[in-house]
Amino acid sequence: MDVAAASGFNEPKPVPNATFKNLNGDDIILSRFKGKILLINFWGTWCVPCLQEIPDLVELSHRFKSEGLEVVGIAIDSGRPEDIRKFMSEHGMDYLVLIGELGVVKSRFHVIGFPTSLLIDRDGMIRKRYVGPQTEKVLKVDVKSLL
Amino acid sequence: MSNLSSKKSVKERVNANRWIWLAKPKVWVGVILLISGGLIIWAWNAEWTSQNSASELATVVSPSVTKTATAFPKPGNQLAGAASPYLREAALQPVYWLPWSEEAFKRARAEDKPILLDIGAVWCHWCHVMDVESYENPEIARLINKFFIAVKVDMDERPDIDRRYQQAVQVISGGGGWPLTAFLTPDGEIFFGGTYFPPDDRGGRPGLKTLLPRVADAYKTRKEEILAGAAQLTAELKKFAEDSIREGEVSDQLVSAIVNNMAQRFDSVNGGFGTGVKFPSGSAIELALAKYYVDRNPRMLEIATKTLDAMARGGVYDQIGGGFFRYSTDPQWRVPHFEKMNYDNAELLLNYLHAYQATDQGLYKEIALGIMSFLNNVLSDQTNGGFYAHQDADMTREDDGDYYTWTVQEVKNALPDDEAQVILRYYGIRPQGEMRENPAKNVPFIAATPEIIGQELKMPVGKVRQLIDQGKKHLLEARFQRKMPLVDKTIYADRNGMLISAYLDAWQVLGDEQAKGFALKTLDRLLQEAYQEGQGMYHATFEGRTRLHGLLNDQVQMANALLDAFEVTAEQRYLRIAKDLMNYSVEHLWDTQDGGFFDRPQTEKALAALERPFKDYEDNPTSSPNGLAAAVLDRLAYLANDEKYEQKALETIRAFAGSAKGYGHFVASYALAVHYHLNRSAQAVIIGEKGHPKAQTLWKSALTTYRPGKMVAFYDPAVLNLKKLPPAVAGAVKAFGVQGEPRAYVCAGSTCAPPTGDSAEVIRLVKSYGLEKF
Repeated sequence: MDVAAASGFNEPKPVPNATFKNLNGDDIILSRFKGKILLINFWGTWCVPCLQEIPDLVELSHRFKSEGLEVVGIAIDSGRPEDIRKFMSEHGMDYLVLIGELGVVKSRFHVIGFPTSLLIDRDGMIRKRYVGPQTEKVLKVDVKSLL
Repeated sequence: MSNLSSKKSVKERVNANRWIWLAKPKVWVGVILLISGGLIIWAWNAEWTSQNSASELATVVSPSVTKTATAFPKPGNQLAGAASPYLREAALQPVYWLPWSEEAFKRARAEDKPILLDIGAVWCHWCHVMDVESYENPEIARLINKFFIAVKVDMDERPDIDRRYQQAVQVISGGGGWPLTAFLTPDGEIFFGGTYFPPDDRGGRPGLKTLLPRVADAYKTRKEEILAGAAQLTAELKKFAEDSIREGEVSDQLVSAIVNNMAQRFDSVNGGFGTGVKFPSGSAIELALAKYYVDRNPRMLEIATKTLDAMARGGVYDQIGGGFFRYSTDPQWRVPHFEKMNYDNAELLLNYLHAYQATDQGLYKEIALGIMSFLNNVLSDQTNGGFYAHQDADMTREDDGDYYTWTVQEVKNALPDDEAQVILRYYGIRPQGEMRENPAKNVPFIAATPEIIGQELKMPVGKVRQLIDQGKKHLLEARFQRKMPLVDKTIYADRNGMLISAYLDAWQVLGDEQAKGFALKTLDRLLQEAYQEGQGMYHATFEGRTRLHGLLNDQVQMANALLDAFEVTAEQRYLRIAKDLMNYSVEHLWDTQDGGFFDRPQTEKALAALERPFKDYEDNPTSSPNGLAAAVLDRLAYLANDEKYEQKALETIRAFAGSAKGYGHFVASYALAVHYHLNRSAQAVIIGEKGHPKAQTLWKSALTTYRPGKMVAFYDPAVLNLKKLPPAVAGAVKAFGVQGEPRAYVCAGSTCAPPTGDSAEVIRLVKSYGLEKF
């Protein structure tokens, strides 16, 4: 059975193999997550609707990490790494957060609204795009279908 | 018994007449009697009246003398010290008027007399007529003083009292308006009432000379029935108030139902709503423009523009001096009632500003400027700040719009021949005019275009336009020679809130710096004179005296103005006070049982009808307090970043959602609140140093761009305490610390656009972000 058709997923496309810096300044390339289910969340500390879904992302990460889900936040325009670290600890964000360049996010990932999340399967194919804040309840159904 | 003795329930009666609040007298003839099982309206019949003359009745009904009467000061007219000009005007009348007070009711109980309640206004033509004909008539005054405790109320000063008795009179008589004339039991329960009554019986209608002894007689001889009937009416009104508001689901379908209903009631020929007299519908125009912006449905634009075009051309607009009159007596907007209210002009100013933004039509700008010219010149305290309440319709108590109307000869006397021949055609001034008292008098309206006049007179259009401009100025100068109708200089908080908002908008749309300055000066005056932290706003201030504390409309209209002021100044104190007013409203006015806000605090001390709870969500005559309260709470939730206000907004709109959909334009401000709650407009946060030119440009770009319902907040990191900022703003401020460049963050619905430092991008985002169709 076609997973994409069954869950109303978009036409799968390969995720751009972009590189982002982590909070220590190291380069992290997305292809390193191949073999895992990846939820990339483009967000910013200035973005109210982004803050709204963070608790749900934390919960989702906790629930499915052991089954191969990696939640990766890409922070845009969110200040210095120490500002982001402080923000993460205040909001209990224990998933991976990388720093994104606005230009790259717009041109390669076609993000025009924050938050935007991409659900990527183990083969590195984008299976779903979410615009606006999502709930753990919605996300878990889609993640489960890819497990 | 006539056909008036219908067995319609109170609910049917109120529904049948609901939303019809005519400032025009509708005489109801009759008395109500209670017979077991229901309220019966017994029509007056001429035969019955003729059997007993007033003087005979006066002797039949024995004057009431009670043991406790001496406990009160000698009766007399006690209005001399009143702050209201309407009450002060009546201070020399021979009627022993008392203001609405504990004393009035105590006295009525002690002397066991019914109360004659008059509710009117200083701008109200028929109130003046009744004053002259009846309340200054010694014979009528004697009857009143003998059989009644007379109480006079200014409807502008006491909207809470007016609302309740208007509703009751509508049930009794099928119509409401001013003057309102009601007969109450000593406990303040109404048992009979109407609007205008003549002094003598006229055409089968009872005059006061007949009616007063009749009512007094009924009270004496059938007191039990009257008391029971009044109690039942009060109980039914209470029940009606409870039944007529139903909780329901908040959805876009609800907004669509209201909008469709509004469209059905739209007069496609003349603009406006309905087919009879025409009142302005400020919120309905705002709703139509807001819906047009998101749906591009041409019908919505038509509702707004056809109405505003027709009003701008009609006699309902003061073509010579600017500003709008209260309402039109005909569907074509031709012949108005001439009182000019500040609240109509506030809502219409917003309408014309927004229509100008939506269409770029010069006419709308011209009318907006005309309204402001009238407000600046006549209806405001330019020295201290503050907008006055209204201007009377008449120069004297006997005239009929003489200040504003013209005969052909008056125009010819005022203007040179070449101007006169153009002006007579342009404003449709002919030998036979529209006014009843003097048929030669004309209400100016736009009767012909300059092009047509040019053809008729074989004159270039440019010349015609020039003569119109000159002629208009000369007519205004000639009008200044007439006695200017009285201006009530009371400063009402709710209405000033509306005007402050409208003037701040005028700055955003037209770049009028003076308008912004005056709006802020007015706001600061109101805060100084009529606000106390934690205590809410007072309703009125006049010569340093504040009156009536805690009405919902004052809190929400001022909170709305404060949020507008916060948007254009970035001064945190305005945001703080807006919060304080809404916190006060939630604490003191919220209906903890059924949701929604009461119009006034529910206290045990409330006198008479004020005991009856009242929750308003109709636009009557301006935006409904509950509709606006929801909209303000949603704005506050965003600007103060506090979800509890959003939750309260939802609870507010939910409280009325089950009963609103059939009411069309009458609940437009409520529908607008629901629309914005579900479809968030653009929200822009600008971070930058206030003095930085780029920051200023970004801020101004966001403020001046048209997008109905948008919100703009400016934060200067240099003067802010990060710990006190909403978390998202703090996030943006930290990002600013890295970039060091001003940035705009625009969100709409549930997403945010990529931050930008480009003002053209800000304009694009504010205009269209979140609207995929653009």
